[in-house]
Amino acid sequence: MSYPIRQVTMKRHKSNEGLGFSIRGGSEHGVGIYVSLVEPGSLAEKQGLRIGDQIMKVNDKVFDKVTHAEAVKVRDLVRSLVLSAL
Amino acid sequence: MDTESTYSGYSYYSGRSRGSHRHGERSRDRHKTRNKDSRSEKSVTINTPPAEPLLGDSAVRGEQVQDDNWGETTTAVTGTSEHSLSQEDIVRITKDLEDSVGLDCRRYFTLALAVILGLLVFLTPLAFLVLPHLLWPEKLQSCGTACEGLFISVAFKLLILLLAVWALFFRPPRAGLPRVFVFRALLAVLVLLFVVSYWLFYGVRILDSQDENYQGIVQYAVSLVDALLFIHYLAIVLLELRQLQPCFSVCVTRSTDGEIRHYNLGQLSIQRAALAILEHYYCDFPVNNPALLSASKSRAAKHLAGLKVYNVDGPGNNAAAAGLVHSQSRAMIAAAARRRDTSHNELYYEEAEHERRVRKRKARLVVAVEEAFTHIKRMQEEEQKKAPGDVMDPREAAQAIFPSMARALQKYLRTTKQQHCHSMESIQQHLAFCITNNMTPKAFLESYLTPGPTLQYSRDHWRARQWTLISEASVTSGLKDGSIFLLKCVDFSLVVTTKKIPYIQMSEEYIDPKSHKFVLRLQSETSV
Repeated sequence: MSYPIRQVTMKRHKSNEGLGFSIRGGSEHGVGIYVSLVEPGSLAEKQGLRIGDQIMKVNDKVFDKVTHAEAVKVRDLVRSLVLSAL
Repeated sequence: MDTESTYSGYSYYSGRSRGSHRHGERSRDRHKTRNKDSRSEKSVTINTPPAEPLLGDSAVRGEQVQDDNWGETTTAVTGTSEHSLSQEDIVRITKDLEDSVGLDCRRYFTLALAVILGLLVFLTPLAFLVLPHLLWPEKLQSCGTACEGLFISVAFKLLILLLAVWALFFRPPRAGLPRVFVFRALLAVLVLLFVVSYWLFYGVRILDSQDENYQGIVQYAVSLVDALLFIHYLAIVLLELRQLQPCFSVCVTRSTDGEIRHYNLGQLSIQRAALAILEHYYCDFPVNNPALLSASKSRAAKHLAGLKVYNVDGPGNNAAAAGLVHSQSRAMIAAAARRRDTSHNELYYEEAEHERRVRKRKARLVVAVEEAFTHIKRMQEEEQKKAPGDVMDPREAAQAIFPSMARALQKYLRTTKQQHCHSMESIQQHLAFCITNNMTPKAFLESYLTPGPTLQYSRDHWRARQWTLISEASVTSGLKDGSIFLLKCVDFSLVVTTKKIPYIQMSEEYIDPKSHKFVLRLQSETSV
């Protein structure tokens, strides 16, 4: 099944500011990277991220078969996210 | 008949080692079939050696048999009157005498042979060394220290050989086996051939030519002793070491109550395996208690007594008799299957009731014994000197406290059907033993609560010193996978089946210690 795909651009005000959401999953568990928590009043909520969204691409890097640790590493460089939203 | 009474007298005196004739009913047919059985099934008897010398015993027995016969049947020799001893009986007596004397003769014969062979082997090297000095002393070259060294080595090797041969061959045997011990016979033949060939060589090359080189002769003698030591090494491997590595797993089942034990044996002949199994039997199997089987026998009798077959059509002709019997038994089986049998119900309630009764008696017994043990106290050394009156030794103490627990113990033994296993004397002895060794009441009671191995009981129960080995294969052949044989004694038999321990193919797999890596099954959540 395919859900509508959105592209989101996150611009951080401070370089060490978090994006405001938590991810779960990874290729070691056999699933993709999903949003599991969105902090209220954060950047992610403003951009419209919701729980259950799957992260498809980050900075043109396809998050198809990426492990959880690698997904976390990319976090600091995030400029744009492509999500598939429920 | 007169002959019957004489044979019962005979069997009374024959007692232990002649146990195969113990039961006294010596009808001719039974004896004949026994012989036939022994020929077809190769049944042979294993005798454990009795205490007194057998030759003397059999001689005495023989005389008593003769006396009984001559006393009661004056017309014994003619064999014409009906009340006399017939020729067959005389033949049977002489054959029995020969058998018993034959068995002992065989034992002493083999012992004598072994001693002669041992002496021959021991004296041969000495003879080799001494004969040149006796026969041609003037021609001999004297040899110095080398020879003396060889003399010493011969002396020590002979001493070691003497001790080793005694240890391996001349210790008192644990049991008497039916057939000759094949490996020992082969080794004896080998040693004899060896020594004879050495003598031949010596006779031709040294005695005839009167060799002067004494050192060579001494070395020849030393080589003989070395070779004998190597043969002894071979004997150790064949007789002792070969059977140590387990190769077969035997399953021993007792025919009366189905007790099963499993043992691991090495490569043995059937008779030696039977001996090993019997030694384990006396230590491991609980004592055979025929009283425990009476319940199932009465149940079986009730099954058969329930139905009776009536032949309504009148007496049939003989031709159909066999078919009639067959159809009768089938009718009985069908009827027994169809009727509403409540015997399982009775069994269930009976067993529950019995268990309850046993537990109740056991509780009473435990309380009585504990109370009895509180009545005596061990006196310390200092107290012994102070109060010499009314002091008892363990036996008297046991007799003093025994009456208070005797009734409870007797009732318990009767309920568990063990009363014939323990006599009052043995119980008091055991009580004195427990008191001497500071045992608790529970320790005293344990030997009555569970049946122990056969060896623990008095000699009446250790009846079966005469065992018969029944086997289809020859008893000197080795154990094979699937060989079955029986060890029969008076009350029951032990069925032995063999299985080979399988060949195990093992391979290895190397695991790098660094290769142990793990991940969590729970998905971790990371906030970004």
